Amino acid sequence: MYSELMLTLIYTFIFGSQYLGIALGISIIAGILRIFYVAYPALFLIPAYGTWMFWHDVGLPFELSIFLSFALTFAIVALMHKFVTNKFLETEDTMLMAFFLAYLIIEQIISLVYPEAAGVNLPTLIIPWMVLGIPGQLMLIAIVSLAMIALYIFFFVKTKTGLIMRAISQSYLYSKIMGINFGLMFSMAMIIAAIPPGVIMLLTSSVGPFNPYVGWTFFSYGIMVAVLGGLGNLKGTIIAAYVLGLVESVVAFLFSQPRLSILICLIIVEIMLILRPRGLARAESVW
Amino acid sequence: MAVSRMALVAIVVVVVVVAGLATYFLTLPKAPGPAVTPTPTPVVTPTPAPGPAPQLRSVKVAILYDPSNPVLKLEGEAAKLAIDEINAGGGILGVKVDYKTWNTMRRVDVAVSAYREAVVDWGAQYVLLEGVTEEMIALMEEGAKLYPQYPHILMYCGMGADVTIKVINEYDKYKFAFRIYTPDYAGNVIGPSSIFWNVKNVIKVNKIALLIEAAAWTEGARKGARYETKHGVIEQKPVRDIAREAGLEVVYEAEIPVGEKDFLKYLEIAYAKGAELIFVMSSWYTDTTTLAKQWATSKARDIYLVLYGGTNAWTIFWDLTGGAALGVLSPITEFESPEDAYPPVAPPTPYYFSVVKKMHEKGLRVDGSAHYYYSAVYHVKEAIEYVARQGRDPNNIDEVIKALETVPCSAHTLLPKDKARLGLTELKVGDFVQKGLFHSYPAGPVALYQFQGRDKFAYIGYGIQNPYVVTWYPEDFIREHYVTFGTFSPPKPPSELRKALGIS
Repeated sequence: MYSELMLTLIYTFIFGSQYLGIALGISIIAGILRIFYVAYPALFLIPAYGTWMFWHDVGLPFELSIFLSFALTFAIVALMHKFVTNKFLETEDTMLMAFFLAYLIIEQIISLVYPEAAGVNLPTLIIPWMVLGIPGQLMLIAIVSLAMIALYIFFFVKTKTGLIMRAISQSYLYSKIMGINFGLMFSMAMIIAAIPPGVIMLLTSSVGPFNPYVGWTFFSYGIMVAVLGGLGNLKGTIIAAYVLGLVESVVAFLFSQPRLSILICLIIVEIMLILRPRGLARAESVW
Repeated sequence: MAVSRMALVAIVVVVVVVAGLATYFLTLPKAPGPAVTPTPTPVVTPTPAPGPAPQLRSVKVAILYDPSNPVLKLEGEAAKLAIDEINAGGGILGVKVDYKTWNTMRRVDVAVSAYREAVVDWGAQYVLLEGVTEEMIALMEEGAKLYPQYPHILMYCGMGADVTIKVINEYDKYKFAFRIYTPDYAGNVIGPSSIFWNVKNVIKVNKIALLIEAAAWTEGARKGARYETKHGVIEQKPVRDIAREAGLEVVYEAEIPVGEKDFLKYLEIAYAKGAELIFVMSSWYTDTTTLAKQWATSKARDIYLVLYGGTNAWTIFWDLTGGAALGVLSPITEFESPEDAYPPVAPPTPYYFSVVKKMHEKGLRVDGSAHYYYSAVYHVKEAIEYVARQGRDPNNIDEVIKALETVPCSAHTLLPKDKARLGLTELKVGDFVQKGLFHSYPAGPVALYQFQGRDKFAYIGYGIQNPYVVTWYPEDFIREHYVTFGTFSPPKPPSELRKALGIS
């Protein structure tokens, strides 16, 4: 029983932190732009496959390839912002479809150029040994997730740009009256939201799923967390991530039912959505 | 004469029905190929028919698959490769083989529509389906309606007990359907049995964990199954019972949902329960690449990991996992030459290496199903040629069906010639009698390899001591390749392999 309890505790932290890292970008975009960003799954794929392309196919150094892959991601995000968000901000259903199609196009291109049989893999296993009896890489992902959330909180609380973004998330109308440059802020929000999924994917690819279709899997986890926490609120996202991490660990290790763990999480999110549609945080702003 | 209302209605109904039927039959397109034979086809006998043999008019092969999926694409490409080879060699009886492909998108409705188009409009006499069981069952039903007008043969490589049971129990209705693979009630017993023999006698561990993919094809392996057929009752034991009968203790068993990405939980529990080996009954539905990566970084990484189907059947699995495959045990179906394997192994059949090499030259990987689709085309060729040699009409599909039931495929790339038969009703392999194989191939033992480095594969436990091996291959074949079959190399513990490569 002791070992099961320890496993539950440790994996609550691990799963919760992973969820946090995955959902971070969704919450930022939903909080600031007030949109449901269904192109988000592509943000997991572009940095990872971009790194492979620059490193393996172009022959650049690995670190430079990572840097360039993020530059590529930002460029694609900026294009999506220019041609989709800007254009369809007032017609959300069209925007949703445009984002979704953009994601599908990116996924199809990747699967065409780098099908699973191409043997794409990234040497991003930084900690191959065990830490506290769990895979060291997972501990690293958890710590990186926490570091990212801390940085983002600092950004939103302590910087002027963060303050402006919070203002936008609090009241779109009043911030407009105050003369905020929406175009710039929205672009920045989309770009900073694109960093966490890329980082998580790069670190996870060596110990987790990595294929052209994995973006949607991560996205669904992210949505689960973001919805439970209250779409667009970082405090809610943090709470929801660890609540789901706890539920998943308890079901998997304490009750020895790993197959049911995600199902139970989904049921909890569904019930929560019915009882408290605004999620755990019930907040209006991003922080 | 007064006509009652009821009589009037009856007359109108009869007239409408007669007119409808007449319209239907008069407007049916003319069936290509041979005329319908209203009486049962006589059994093929080796006695040549008198007079000149009818000439083969055409051979049209329809390939129904999903080319958008890079994995499933392989199966269709393998069939095309065989057809191209046959045409390059002069075709079948001098007739070039035509082929046309349809994208089924792995959807039942699309597959049925494609099937009708292939058989009715294009006149395909041979249909190769790559898809899920549901597609095959739907096509069998559709094919049963089409067959009298459009005689053809439908071949499918996949699971689902019904595919074979239907043919056995309702032969006249479904005789056109062949499973160019092993039925699950045989494959899911023989495969694990031969692996468990190796686990017990070669790897020499006792406590195992079973992780079984929760898909339709493993239902019998998870719950056991019983089928009543015209060839007798078929009993399939759950895989846990097979393991126990092999002298192993099953310390943990779990079902893995299709699409699972987080295997760590299962691996942690297997480790906590004291498993010394984890057997994953996987197929393409299980992301074995991710599983291996998670295993290699988890506490379970010192436990042997045996994978069944999936990307682990490719030699490129090493690259896919970024080297996390080190120590993984798996069947591998795509060695280019005997020298690629370590220690050197003999080819399962003489044709194995050539097809792998050709597929690789096209940039395609080779899984077990690709072997079966490739071989099926050759099996059809041999059946048609056999019919012609008997002086019978090679255009007559009934004759070709009988020939497929009779003639072994001598060019099969995975099965020994005497086992590459679609007409067997039962066969003994090891301690197990495979029943109800009719219109399916028998299942054989699974050859296990261990990934011991990049392009370094150790062939383990496939020794002549293994009863599943000795009853599978012909005695002279074993004697010829005694070095291989006599090799009894145990796998190295994963920790030892990591140490040798300086991995912490």
